[in-house]
Amino acid sequence: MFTLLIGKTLIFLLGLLNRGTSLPGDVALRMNKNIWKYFKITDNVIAVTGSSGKGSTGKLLTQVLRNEGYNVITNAGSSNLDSAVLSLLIKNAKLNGNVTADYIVLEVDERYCKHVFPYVKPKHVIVTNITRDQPPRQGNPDLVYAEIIKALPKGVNLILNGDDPYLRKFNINNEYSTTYFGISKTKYSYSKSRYDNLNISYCPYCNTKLSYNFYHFEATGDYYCPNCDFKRNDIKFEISEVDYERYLITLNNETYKLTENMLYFIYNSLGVITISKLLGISYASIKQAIEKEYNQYSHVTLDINDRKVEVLNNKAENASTYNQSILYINRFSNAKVLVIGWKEISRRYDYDDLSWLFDIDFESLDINQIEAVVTMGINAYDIASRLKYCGIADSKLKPFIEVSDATEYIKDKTVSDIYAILNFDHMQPFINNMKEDNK
Amino acid sequence: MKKIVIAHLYYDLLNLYGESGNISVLKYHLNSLNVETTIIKLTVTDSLDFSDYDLVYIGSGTNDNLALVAKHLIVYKESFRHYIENGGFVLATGNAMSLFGEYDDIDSLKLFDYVAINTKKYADELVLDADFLENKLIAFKNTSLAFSIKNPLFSNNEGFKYNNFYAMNILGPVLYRNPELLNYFINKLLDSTQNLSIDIDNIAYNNYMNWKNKE
Repeated sequence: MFTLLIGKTLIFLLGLLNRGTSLPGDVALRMNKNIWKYFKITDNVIAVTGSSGKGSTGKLLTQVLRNEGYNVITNAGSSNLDSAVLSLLIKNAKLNGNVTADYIVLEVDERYCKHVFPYVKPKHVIVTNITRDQPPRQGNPDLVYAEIIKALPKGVNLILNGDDPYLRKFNINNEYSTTYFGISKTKYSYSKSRYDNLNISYCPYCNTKLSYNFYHFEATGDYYCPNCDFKRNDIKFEISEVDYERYLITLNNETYKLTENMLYFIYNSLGVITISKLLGISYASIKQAIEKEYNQYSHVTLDINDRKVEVLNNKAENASTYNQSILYINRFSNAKVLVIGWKEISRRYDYDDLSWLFDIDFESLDINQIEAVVTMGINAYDIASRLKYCGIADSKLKPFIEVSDATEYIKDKTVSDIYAILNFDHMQPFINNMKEDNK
Repeated sequence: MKKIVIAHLYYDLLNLYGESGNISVLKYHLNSLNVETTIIKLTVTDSLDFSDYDLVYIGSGTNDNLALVAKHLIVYKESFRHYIENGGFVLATGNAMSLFGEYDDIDSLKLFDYVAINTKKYADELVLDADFLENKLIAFKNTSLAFSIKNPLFSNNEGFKYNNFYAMNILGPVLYRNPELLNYFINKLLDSTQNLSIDIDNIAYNNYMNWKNKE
């Protein structure tokens, strides 16, 4: 209880200073390793983990549950390590250890599930995806998978994307109660694989190369093994129609109008729809949350002097989400200026790893429609060099270390619409500079 | 017109860490030098004929995929040895290097006497020396293998060479981050002394060296 008091004091003080989500948890863990046992919490714990989409999925799910009238506590959208989960409990616990909440929604980093699940046992776990992500930290997908599966408690309910053959690995050597969601063939599906660097291309049971009736993206689609029974099946919640132009998805007879028309957003939403329906939540509560879900920082569209500027926020070191940004840009056949940049590859460490740039399918860009490629930040020349290797002429490559020099060039020397894929640390500087009046 | 055939082995299994970038880089420069370049993508469902190839490239993969690949490749041990003895070019990067030495976890070919040992996973950025290069090598490591090499190609006990067989447990992709190594490799492959168009690559390389050496 003493540790709890200290933790609560810290939370109060940090709250006054308006910062620090996991420090109290850190301190508490150092003071008393057994502090987890002190809390009395509900069984209704839902954890979200995976390579990308954890925060968005967690926040959306929290909103759905609150719309339905439930009292929910969550760490989704902020720090997702064990110390953050502990901080959440400390903040919401009475001095006797009771945590009042109908539901606890946790966002947990893939490698920290093993530090959280033994103490805060999830009844349901959503694994959004397992993809290449932060190679120096996460290694490769097989290592991430190993970390998650060893943390899963017996009897947990899994909610997984059934379109992804890789996630079927969770049930290879054991059987978890699993609910799969997926998307049936859409007008955007394609029949021949576009990527050589898939996380899984062979049957996890018999090592025969997988075949597909159609692909949605990378390894997701309608896969089957030509040699054994392994295939995409058992999809309990299936979207039957997707319309990017009208931002609509249809599930059975229900439609949802989304605020973002990219595949990752649809899968995140579908994961939330799935768990919500399993919990008996009303269509109204789900629909209201999804249709209001809007991240103002992820996709910004501006009009500058009659030129369209679209800025997509994309984490560095995650080739899979980057590929979605590229696919989005490829929807537009007009001439374009492509902008790519970041201030720091990662906030977590100093590694200058750029290998992931070659896991991105820049080769699918229509080179003839590219007026210029403007690259920004300390790796401006590295990014430019990478783009040279997909055939873009040297004369079109414009690297600038400073964002202000890049935006000046774009405004003075280019005419086409602008499509920028930027790390969050370049979003505001770029947008602010572009908005500044021309001299 | 000169022709080069590059065999990208196990392109769909040993496909981690953007390693296919080494192929993109080679292809770009060979084309710029007017060399007709063909890339053949081969995997465990294909038969391999080394007499068809001028350069064999193999990149990094997960442990499971590496084991799968070894089962396929070991059948070709003798033709592979023959290919190397006759001066055939090979570039093996990342943990692909373990296929050709001794590594207990897989059916390694044991063509060379270097040994791969399992270690705790580690990621690091190294800067290495080579006596055949003027500049240092930017060597990115992300691996759970350590190699014991009698006559390493680079400092820090990294890299191995025999005839035109080059192996290094180094990522980057290594040819993308090291324009001088790229230049060296292409000229060896073509048996020539040509300059590559690597101005941007050189600026990127120099920026890295200047900023990292500041620490």
